[in-house]
Amino acid sequence: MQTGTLCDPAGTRQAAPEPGEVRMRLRYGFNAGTHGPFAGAGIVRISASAADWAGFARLAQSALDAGVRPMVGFRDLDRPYDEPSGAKRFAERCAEFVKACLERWGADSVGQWYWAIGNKPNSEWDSGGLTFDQYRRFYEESATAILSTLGSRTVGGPAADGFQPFWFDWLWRFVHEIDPALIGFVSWHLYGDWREHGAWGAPADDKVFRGLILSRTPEYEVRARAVARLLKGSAILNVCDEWNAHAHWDPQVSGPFNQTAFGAAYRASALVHLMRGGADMELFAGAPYEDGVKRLCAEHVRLGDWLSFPPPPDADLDVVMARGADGRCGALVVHRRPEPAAYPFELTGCRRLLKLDGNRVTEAPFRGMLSFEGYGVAVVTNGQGGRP
Amino acid sequence: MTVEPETRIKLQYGLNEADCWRYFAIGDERQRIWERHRQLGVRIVRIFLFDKYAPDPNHEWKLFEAYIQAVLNVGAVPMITFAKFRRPPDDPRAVRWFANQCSDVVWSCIEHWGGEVVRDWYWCVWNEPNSTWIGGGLSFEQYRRIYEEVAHGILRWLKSYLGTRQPRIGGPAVEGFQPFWLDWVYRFISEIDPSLIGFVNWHRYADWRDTGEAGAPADERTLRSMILWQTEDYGARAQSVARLLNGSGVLNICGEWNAHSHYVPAVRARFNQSLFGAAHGASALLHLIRGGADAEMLWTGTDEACGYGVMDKSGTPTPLFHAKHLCSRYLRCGDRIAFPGPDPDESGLQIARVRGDDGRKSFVTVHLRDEPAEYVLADARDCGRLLKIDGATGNQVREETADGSVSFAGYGVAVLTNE
Repeated sequence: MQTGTLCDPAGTRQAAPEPGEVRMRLRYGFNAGTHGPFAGAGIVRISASAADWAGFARLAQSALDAGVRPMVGFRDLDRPYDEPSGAKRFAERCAEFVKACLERWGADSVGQWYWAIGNKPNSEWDSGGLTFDQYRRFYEESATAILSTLGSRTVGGPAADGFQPFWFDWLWRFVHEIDPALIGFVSWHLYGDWREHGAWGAPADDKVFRGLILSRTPEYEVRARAVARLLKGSAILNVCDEWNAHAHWDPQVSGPFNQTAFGAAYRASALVHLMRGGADMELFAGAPYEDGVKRLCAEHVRLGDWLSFPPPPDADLDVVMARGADGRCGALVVHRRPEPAAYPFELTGCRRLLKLDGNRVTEAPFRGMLSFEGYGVAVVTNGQGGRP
Repeated sequence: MTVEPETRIKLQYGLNEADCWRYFAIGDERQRIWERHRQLGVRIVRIFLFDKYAPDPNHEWKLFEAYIQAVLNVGAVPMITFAKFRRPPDDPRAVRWFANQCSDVVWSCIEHWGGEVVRDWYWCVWNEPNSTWIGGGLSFEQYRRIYEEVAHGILRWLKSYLGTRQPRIGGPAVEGFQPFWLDWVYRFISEIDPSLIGFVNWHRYADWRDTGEAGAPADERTLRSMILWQTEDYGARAQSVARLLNGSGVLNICGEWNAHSHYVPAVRARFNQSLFGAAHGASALLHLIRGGADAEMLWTGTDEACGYGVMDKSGTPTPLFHAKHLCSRYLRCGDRIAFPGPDPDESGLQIARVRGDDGRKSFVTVHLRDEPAEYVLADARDCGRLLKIDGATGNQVREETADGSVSFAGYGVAVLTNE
């Protein structure tokens, strides 16, 4: 693959995009309220818990200490949903929680945080029977209460579950039927699958199932694009706020998909497609352990870089090229097949090869050939790396 | 005005003729219906066997012959859908029995119409196997066994006429409301011998819910806006399937589509057989072309109180007929097409610019809002003819001279052309 012309070690062309380049706008994050390290994340989602204020405060402080902005999730809407006073009670609780945060961390910090109303309101499992009209009432009451307490428009929802057939209705109605002054971001979830091998129509064969799940990563781009289209011309952020390869509740089932070389390839491929689709923020659903994929992305594909997506030499590769202000340039390459493969790859001035080996990043000189032992993620770069 | 690069149109037009096949095949007004098909440029007609009250070739050969012959008379080829059987799908004898039934149909067709004719027909194995309602809710493994057995049965008779042609056998005619519908396409092309696959058939309706039903907005205007906003999904799905096919030569066919598939005909008719349905249909066709689909088969052609058809049993057209007619007249296979701005989400107008190699130039436009509007297309000033259907033309296409501007009374479809 000839990609050398896109590199500009002197950084002289950085200010303007080359044809086909787009500005990197994806902010990295995690959707898991645990202590760091945060592996390149800029945002972490933490559930609001008045009952365990000390626990919440520890998590929020640990994020702030790492330079990471909290997204506080208000998940449990008051039932029954059609009780008129329920939405008011919920909104009061949200506002009280925000006030407590203001008292503890001050307006300069808390004014920058994000506030998420509800979680999977369209899922029978998580929010059984909640209608959009009911959710809207909860949202409007609580967003109004939070904004009047805080003064900054960083409230959003509906965190729609992407497995549901009409998931997009919720986003469409959210944007069209709620006062835009109350919306800072629109959020949606997407996992590769939730089924065990052979259950609910899923393939029984592991290799087939993995191929199937990996074949779906372009759906991140399709969905991000659809949401971006919905938000065009507004300042509302497009947030994929919960995602991973597999959503099964039992780690014995989801672990082999999420916490393996397969999971790394899935994550890297999904991130490339979220970048292509124009998402503004992603909150990966996993513990913010020292994730090699996130680290590679955060160091080599940074907010504000110029990105391009050259056609890969093979349908099982995803490629994103990034060009930074400092003359840094490189390519992130994802190999989505379990078999070994090698590809000639040329990138002017890029002599450094970083590859993911398990969860560790290994480094070697790059000599024009990119080889993978199976599923894999690699970066070819002229940069030195380090935390952005 | 930003203009995308031009591509060549490859979409072939088609229709389904299913539940109301009698009017199409042997009805008193069949000649008129066939003429309507010709006007629509129909190249493929999807027909059913073993379901949808279709004639049984073993016992009603004359009726079956008329059904097929009607397709040939309009200048199209049939896509014969072996829709289902009612025996246990896990019983190998039942599968073999079904494959024999299908194979016998192929043999009879070759005997009657000749192998050189029949080799160009399409053979679709099963209908919506992933839907419990329609296709029985098969597992993919069950479907694969049926597909392979039936495909081998078809090839037994057809192979000697194919030469180097790929057999036009396909499936899974997958229902698009199911969350994991694309699994079926992936597994279909990954787990079945490629020599047995000529096309992939996928279905998409925009919605099945009435206002206020199963979480749908209670307000009809909102539901309509939401449905129209999502026609882009036709293109996205066509692209998803094309990506999986990865240049293999297997055809990418949207074998069933329309705006609405509610279980009550009067409800779906409101969406399908109205000006709204016309705007939805034209918009969907533009997105299918843009997404790279090879063929489409609208559900359905002829209709008697079914709430789907583009014409009734006497060939009287609905607004969607006129919209599809405008598309097939001015968006022809091989033409160069581009999709210039402005953004339809902002303007309410979807635009395709089409150029033929013979100097033909047209702008096919779809107005996606139920309100009056006027537009000026600066690049269409040399297109002197305007053909339009909207709320003011009374369910027909009205023709006027043009100067690059077009106005709409609500939802509508219009063509500005130099032809």
